[in-house]
Amino acid sequence: MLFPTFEFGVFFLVVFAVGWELRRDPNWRKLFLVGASYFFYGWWDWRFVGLLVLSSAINFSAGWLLDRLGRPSMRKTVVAFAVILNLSILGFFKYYGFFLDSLRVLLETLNLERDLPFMQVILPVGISFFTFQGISYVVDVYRGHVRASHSVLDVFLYISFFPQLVAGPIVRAADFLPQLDETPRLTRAMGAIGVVLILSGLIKKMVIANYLATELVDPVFFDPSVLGGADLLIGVYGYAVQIYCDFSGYSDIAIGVAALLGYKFSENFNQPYRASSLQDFWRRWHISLSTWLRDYLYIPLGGNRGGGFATYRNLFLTMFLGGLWHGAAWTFVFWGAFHGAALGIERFARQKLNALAPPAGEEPGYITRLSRPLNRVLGVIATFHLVCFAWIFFRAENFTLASTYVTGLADWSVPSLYVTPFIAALIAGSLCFQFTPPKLAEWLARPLEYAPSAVLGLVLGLGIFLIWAAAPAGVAPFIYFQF
Amino acid sequence: MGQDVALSNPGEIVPQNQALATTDRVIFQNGEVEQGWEAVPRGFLREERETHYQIGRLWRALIIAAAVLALLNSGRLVTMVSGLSVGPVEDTIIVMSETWHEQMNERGLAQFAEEVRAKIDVWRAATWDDVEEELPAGEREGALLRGAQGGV
Repeated sequence: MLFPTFEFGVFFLVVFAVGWELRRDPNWRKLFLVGASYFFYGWWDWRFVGLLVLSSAINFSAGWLLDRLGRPSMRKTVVAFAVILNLSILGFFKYYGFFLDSLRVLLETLNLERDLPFMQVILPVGISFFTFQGISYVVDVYRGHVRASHSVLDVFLYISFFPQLVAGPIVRAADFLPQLDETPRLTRAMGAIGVVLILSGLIKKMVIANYLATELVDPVFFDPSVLGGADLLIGVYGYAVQIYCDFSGYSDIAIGVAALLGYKFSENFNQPYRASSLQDFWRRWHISLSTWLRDYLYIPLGGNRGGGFATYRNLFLTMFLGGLWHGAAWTFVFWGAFHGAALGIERFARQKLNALAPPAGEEPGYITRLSRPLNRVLGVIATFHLVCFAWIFFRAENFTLASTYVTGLADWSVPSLYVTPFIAALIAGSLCFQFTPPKLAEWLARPLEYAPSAVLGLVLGLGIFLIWAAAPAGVAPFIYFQF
Repeated sequence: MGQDVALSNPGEIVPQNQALATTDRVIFQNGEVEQGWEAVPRGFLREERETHYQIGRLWRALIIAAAVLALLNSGRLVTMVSGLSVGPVEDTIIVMSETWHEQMNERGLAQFAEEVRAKIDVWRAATWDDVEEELPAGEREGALLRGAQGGV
């Protein structure tokens, strides 16, 4: 079930009404929300509901065992076993085909061709997200960051809660489980911000992302060899905006829907294209994934505690595996490796530049003070273009197409076919929104907090109507569903 | 510091002007606290009232939004329900949706969506020449120059 559909609208009305009706009986409310979440997930394919139950059961049992075991070695065994089980499920469904294909190519290269078992494995939607949430729960219980839940319903709801189930944000157990212990509340602010986020998410996804996909990005990336540099350059800018609007639009709707049901999720995007460095970019882009990778991969690998080489290695490995998490293809691996290497180079350059800076406490000179805003502007432009370069590999079907795309960027002899005023305005307008005040949604929601229900209803109804009327026909799936 | 709040009977609601902190005790006029009753912080009651009010407010807003969409976007409703499988209930829903759309069409409400779409289509079809024609003369030269440099 996709968010911007009639089915979801009806589903949400029912969940809102029944969910709040059951608010005085927490267990019934949780049971209802688990049932609703399984229905939401089963709408795609009922067979995978079993997988969701299995994942939740594994993580609940691991948490339960960790709560009862005292010996550190036993606790370590349990957490390792649970993480391996989680990753095995993810690995089988997501990487089985990729592994066999890569093995086949390797054997062919070595002239050792073999008949390998063939099995078409369907990728269950959202598996990467709920697997990471499960791992986060078990590891947090092991580390003592969160108390092991004694309620099966709590853990099942945490892993399957429908707003974030299929494409994030990756919610932490420490943030969500305590909310289940409290009586659900709905405040003016939550209602208003929920409505604003749902509308902004729909505009981003249905209007901006869908137009850019159908009228620019899909045709440009289909065969870049026949296009000139202008189309290819605008094509990758368009993809940068499309993937941002697609994914942050989904996150906005998820956070808004959760708010209307009385739950708070942390923000997942914070104007990433205004970042002035790659490190800054990763603090603003898919925040729930980047903090997950930091806490459950980078820090366990040693973080920056092991000195120069170990830090660069850990940074690279984290981003490399982050790339692989996005999809079972070498283009994603390259994308992750590129970010890992670039972050390492950036870190090295920053350390060298910091060594040249005047000592702390010393008044900076005129030139230094004047150059700061210029440095920031140059940093934003350079970061955006580095990120765009990496997006080419993220979007391209294979390396051949990606390299054709990159080489084509230098050829400006072919006239443009796709750069229309409409497309240019969509891209430019969307990028301008990266530089608005950071809490724009809260600011827009403020007048709605005290608006009567009729005004709120008209804003929501007319907003959705205008978005539907303006959007291209059909409902395109969200890009991050494939991950 | 907590305070004692006197109530005449266990069923009585704590008066709104009497602040109850978490350490407050509710003492009934006969001097006893009935089993099963407990003091409730004033903040809790206020949050409960606020939640109750907001649920009603949002529920009414959602119904109004659904009504606005049913009135103005009846064409989309027909498209959506036409994808339903064949069956007596589904067929009835499809017929009802089509009748509703016809009614909205007759009253001119379904035209708004088409007008918005037509406006968007005009923007989508606009070329750089159209944009130049819209610009004042001075800006037009600059736009022409930029167009030539950009190869577009």
